[in-house]
Amino acid sequence: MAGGNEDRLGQLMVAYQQGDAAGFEGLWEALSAELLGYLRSLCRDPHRAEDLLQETFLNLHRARHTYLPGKPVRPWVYAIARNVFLMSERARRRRLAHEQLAEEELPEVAVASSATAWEGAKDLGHLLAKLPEKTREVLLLHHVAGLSFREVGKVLGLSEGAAKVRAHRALEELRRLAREANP
Amino acid sequence: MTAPVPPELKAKVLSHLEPVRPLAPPAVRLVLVALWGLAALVGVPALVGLRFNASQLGFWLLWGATAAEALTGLLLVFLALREGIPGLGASVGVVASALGAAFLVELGVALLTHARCPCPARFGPGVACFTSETLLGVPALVLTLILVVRAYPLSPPRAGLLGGVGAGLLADALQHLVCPISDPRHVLVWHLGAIIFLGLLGLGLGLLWQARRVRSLEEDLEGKP
Repeated sequence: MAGGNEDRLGQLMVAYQQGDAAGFEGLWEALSAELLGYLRSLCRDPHRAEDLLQETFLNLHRARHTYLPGKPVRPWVYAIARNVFLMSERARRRRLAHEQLAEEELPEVAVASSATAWEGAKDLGHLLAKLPEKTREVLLLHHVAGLSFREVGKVLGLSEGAAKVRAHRALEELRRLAREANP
Repeated sequence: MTAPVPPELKAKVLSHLEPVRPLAPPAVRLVLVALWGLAALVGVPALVGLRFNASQLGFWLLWGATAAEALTGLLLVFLALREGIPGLGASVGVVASALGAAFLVELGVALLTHARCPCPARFGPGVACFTSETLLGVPALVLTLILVVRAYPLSPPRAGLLGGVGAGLLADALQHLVCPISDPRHVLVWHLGAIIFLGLLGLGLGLLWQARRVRSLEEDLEGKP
């Protein structure tokens, strides 16, 4: 439910903080599909994204006391999801370094039904996948998840202006890729 | 159509679904550190006495400079506390600006103090200043880290660095009241050295904490089929 009702999410969060299981389940229902899409776009591995989604909700559970009632829920949730991804990347790199494995090949970007809202049509999904991770993330958070640039900045640790600049560059890059793909 | 909550996740969540009290906003929690600073601001000069050349400095260069350092320190601690709330962390630019401001305040106070009161012009005794300033800063750092730990910092090293430098500046604000040596070499090596040491201490603790979190995540993910 990209761009969905923040008030409703806020009520679910407060219920969750009060120990109401329905609050947790409501948040899962409202956010799991879009978060899964977001995590897929970050890690490009559908199976890993599902693990990260569960880990995100587990971390959300551990951090639920840090949600400040009245504040938007999405930037808080996305910041946690992104952090879970970054931590898992660190863990993965450490494991790879320990095992001295050759660099793993990244799997193809899968565009499953619940992620179509994230990556749009198949062609657009492929073009998005070609963007560098940092720029792709801004586009997804703003244009797909519906976060404002201010909120995107909070999730990514950027100023609002820097988020806008990054999105602008990402769109330019996307246009360039589209022109190359369809000359 | 949304998939149902995975049973394993649901079981984990439901087993610890006790009500939680939302954290107070960072500005409210900052009051605890500010109160510690205020108590130390009254207590330390009362115990040790003001620097012997306090009258030469005048009100603004003595208390005004201390207030400027203390407020900058509190600003850094505030940023550290915000790091504890997902989505409220400062951008890299803000963090860099805040650390730069801390350095400029320290430098400005050192130079202005020296310009008004250039004696005694000597480098030492530095280790005593470094030690006392570090010891003054440790309680503020510990208090800050406790407040951060109770939240959920997404970047513990950043929170630790900000908390450490903030605590160091608070301690230096106190040191400015009692250390009579205004030689900039002394201030910039031993006083600033203590601030940097506390910052690195906070950063190191944050890195350890982050490494632990990465290991814990690794174990969680390895436990999955």
